[in-house]
Amino acid sequence: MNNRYFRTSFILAYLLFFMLNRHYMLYSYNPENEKLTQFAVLLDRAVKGEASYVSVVNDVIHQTHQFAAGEKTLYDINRDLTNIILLLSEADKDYFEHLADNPEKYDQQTYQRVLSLITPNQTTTV
Amino acid sequence: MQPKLLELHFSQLQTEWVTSKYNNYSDDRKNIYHEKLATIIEGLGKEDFASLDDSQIQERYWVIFFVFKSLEFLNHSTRSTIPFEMVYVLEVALKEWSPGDDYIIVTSLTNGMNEFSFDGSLSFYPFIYTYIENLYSVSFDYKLVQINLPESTSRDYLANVVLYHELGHFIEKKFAITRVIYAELLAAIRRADPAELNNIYRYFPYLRLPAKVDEFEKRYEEYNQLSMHISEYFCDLFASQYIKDCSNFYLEYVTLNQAVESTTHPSTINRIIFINEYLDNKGGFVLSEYKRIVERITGIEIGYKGKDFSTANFESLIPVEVKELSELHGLFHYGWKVWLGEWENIRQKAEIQFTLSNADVYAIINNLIEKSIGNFIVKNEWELIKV
Repeated sequence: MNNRYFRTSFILAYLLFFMLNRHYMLYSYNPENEKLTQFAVLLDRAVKGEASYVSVVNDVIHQTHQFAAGEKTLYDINRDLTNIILLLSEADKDYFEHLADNPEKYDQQTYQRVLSLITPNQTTTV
Repeated sequence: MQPKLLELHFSQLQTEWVTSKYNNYSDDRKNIYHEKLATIIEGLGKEDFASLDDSQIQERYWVIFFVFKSLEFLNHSTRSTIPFEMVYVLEVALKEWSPGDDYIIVTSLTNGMNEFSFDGSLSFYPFIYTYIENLYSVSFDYKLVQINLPESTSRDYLANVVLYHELGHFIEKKFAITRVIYAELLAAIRRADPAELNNIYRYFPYLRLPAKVDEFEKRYEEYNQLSMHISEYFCDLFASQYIKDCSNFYLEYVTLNQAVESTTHPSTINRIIFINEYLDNKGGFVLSEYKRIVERITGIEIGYKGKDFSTANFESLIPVEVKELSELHGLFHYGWKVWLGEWENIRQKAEIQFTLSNADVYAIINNLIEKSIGNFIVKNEWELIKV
């Protein structure tokens, strides 16, 4: 499923590259999707055991947990990650709320689960 | 198939780089940034794309996108192309909201008239920086703030007051201001206080429809009508802190004082009412929410940040001696005042023996604003060297 997802989104992203500089566009897009696509890449690398991406991924998941659990509000979550935290939280608030407080406890199963939440959110259409 | 597409993408970048690699910038920070792009391109060139899996290909896609996008703006921000004085003044405003010296304003010159816009793809895609650091051990000390403006009016300081509005887009995205206002306005609609509702409906008339409110509550999107309108009002407010109502003059003309909102922008009439209420120190719930939320997030109070000066220098064809940074913003207000005023004053004060045409006055005002800023920059740089 992931391979298919990445293949499709790669081709769409490539088309996007050409279309963005024109006055009309072949298909719709939105920046949230692009950020999610980029985050999905990090998650995929983390699932595959790439340690260098784990801390970034853990930070996003942990902040989403803090927001879902009410420990942080719209006003004090990381400004760079605001939209992605809200999107993840909306996708499955209950899941993030009950995640461990300690990010070191997040593992490949966590990353796989978050990745599966993101995939249906990709709404780019040709 | 996919590695071949990536090869194609990289070949395009290499072709672009053949000319871009010789770019010469007046700003050392851009030279440092440029060298980092060179390191990334060198790293990409050493890779075997055929051996990469799907997500690794995507990483490279975004890295190439990043380098291309950077060059798109850096190519128009060289010593010979950048509207240097305008960018200098915008950076003064930027530093008030982002004091760390970690952003560089770059411009891309567009062909179309009135094609002013902000592009956040290099400032607000944090994960691309993670890819680059991980893959090529390159970390950027500076991010680019990308502003598009028409090439034909790149040195028109009257029209370019709208660039403060574009800078506002950077600020509202950096602090996720629109996202918070969006949530607070929808919460206020649910509270259903009649005074609050009346004021919300004035600026966002479509929120009278419960189905619309449901739709906006169900899913936030950066490009939905409500979020775009919130963002446009914020940027107008942001700009008016520096140039008061100057952008209203231009906006009113180029939009033909549009009475109906579009999916992307509120009606011009409402935008002008919003700004005038702020400038006249009036305003209801919506304006006070904007002020409250901006201050809570940024710690900065919305208020006039320029400085006016009373002078008749421009009428006498003399640049203004700018003494402090805040006066730089006041130059635009002064320039507009002269443009909208009696041109006969210039002819009399400067003792000109012939009638001034609109083109003469246009050139005079633009040259004098540019010289006033330029003189300040030279003086300021000289003071820094002396220290």
